[in-house]
Amino acid sequence: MSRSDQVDESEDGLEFIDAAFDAELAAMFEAAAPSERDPAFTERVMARTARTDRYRFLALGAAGALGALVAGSQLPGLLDFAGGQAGAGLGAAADFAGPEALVTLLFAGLALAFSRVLSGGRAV
Amino acid sequence: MDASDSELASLVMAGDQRAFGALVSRHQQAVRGVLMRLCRNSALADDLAQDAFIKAYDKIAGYSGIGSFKGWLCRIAYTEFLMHARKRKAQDRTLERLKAEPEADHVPAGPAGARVDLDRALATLGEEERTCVILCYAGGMSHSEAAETTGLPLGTVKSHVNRGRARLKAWFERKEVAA
Repeated sequence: MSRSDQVDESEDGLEFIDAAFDAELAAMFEAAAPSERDPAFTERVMARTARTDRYRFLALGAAGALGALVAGSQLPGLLDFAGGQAGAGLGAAADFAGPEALVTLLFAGLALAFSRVLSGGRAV
Repeated sequence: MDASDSELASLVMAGDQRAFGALVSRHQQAVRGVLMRLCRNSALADDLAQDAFIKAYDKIAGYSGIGSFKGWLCRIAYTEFLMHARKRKAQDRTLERLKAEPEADHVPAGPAGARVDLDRALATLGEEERTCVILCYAGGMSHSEAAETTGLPLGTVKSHVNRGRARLKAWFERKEVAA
């Protein structure tokens, strides 16, 4: 056993490590490793992350908009009720733009905010 | 960028893509190195490494800051490798093929002879031994991180690394004698 030998504890007792070969093996792995910091690789990954973000944002936005349209079409009476209960301002807005349009806008805004949160607030 | 991995991860969570670029740049060598030794195919290893980084980007909020970011990344990379291997049901056949003759690899990475020798030597190890040695040497993981990654007990990982290293040493000594 050489002087460089070290002792390591393992579950099945003491085992000896040849430190010289350990360093040699580490050097072999180092030499066989791919080149350090390949910019092309980084660019490929970053391009894919940007694409992933965009798809996620578009998919969530589209789903949210669809949901908003469905909700808007299903709740035509909501603003009439709100107009009667909540006052003249909302009622006037409903008269101006139509109840369906206002409900659609409201839900679209919520859906957009929801998709923004789900996409982690990342820039698209 | 000199920020720590944890700081960069926090920036990524806040929407800073350049911070993720810095993390990719910083850790790509380890991730690609692990996958290259596991797959023995540069093109496939790079594809899996890209997938691993994309997954890491999507799951960056899952990085707790406890343990090294490199270990966390290598864990994702190893999972990608396993998923790929299962999907293609070719891991055993590939290993058999690799034991017979190393695959010609068109991407140069270090001295070709030494790389081929290392891959040949690794192919003689048992699957778990080989994985533990690669995670610890190519991925720079601690035994604990390798244990967490592979799901093996810490003592088993230590044994695999020690025995794997001893077998590799014997393999290289035999090769030297034969030469």
